[in-house]
Amino acid sequence: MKFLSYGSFAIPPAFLQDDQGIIQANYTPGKIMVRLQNEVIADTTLTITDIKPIAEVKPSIWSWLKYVLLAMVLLALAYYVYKKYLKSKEGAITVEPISQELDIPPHVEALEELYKLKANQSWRSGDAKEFQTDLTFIIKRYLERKFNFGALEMTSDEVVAELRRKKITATTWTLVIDDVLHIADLVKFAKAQPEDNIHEEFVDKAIDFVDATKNYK
Amino acid sequence: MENKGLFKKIFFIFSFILIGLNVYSQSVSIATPQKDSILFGESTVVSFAINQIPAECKAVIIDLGKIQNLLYEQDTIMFEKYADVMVDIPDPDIAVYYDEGVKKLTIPIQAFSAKDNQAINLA
Repeated sequence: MKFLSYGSFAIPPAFLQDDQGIIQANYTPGKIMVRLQNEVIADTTLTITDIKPIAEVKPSIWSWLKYVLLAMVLLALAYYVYKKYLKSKEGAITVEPISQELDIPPHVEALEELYKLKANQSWRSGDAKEFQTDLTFIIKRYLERKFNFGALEMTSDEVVAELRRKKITATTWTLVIDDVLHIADLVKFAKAQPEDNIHEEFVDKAIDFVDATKNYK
Repeated sequence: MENKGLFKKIFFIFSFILIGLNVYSQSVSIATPQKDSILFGESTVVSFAINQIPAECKAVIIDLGKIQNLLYEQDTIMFEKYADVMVDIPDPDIAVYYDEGVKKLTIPIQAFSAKDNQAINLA
């Protein structure tokens, strides 16, 4: 017999039949379990092999790219170090110090320079532009050393604004510095020709300013 | 009077013994599959054994259309109520009548050479 259903079945026994019908008899049904085909059949023809080795993954272009970028960064860093330190050691870039002894107080240095400038009277020889350039440099140098801000890198307006913002000098002195620096700008950049006494007056004003602020803490 | 009552009791009990013997003496029919567990669609031989076939018996009937699924009562969706079976009659000499529609096998008693301990194997 082939069973085309699955489950647990009770097979009925054979019955006897006479002319009257089926004869009742003692009977014992057989039991049979029909299962679905869900068993995995092992292939015994195959042999047992060892564990596969670790597969090698080929590097992609992106994995190389990060090394290239890293190399470029390192090269740029090396070039920067070379330019900044090694070149300067070789003397390619030399900065001549303005003052050989930086422990000289700012006002001493400034006054010395101003008196020297006044004594030269270079404006009389028609070199007013150079005179004004030196004058503004001495004033900005003094401001930078005395009041600790980068006056030498600032324009005249920025210097005056900084003096006003920090309130480090009296308003009158701020106006004086403003006046001196702006006239100097006109001489330097606009080829203005002020009167001769203006130059001497500006040097005197600068000397007075340094004297007035030399004790500033 | 007491003996009469005792006799009634003994007869009452003895009558049950007689009835039991009578039942035991009836024909016994057993269906025995060759395997108790098979796969879906797998062939197996089921033996139907009968002892003490009465003289008045004319035929043996095997109703294969009423093989009950014992799991059907627990799950009427997954299981069928009756088994769907295919039958091969192994002995071509036995004149049988098989109703494919209701899957009922009728074997005339003349097909059997002896009246006792007959077995029919269905493959």
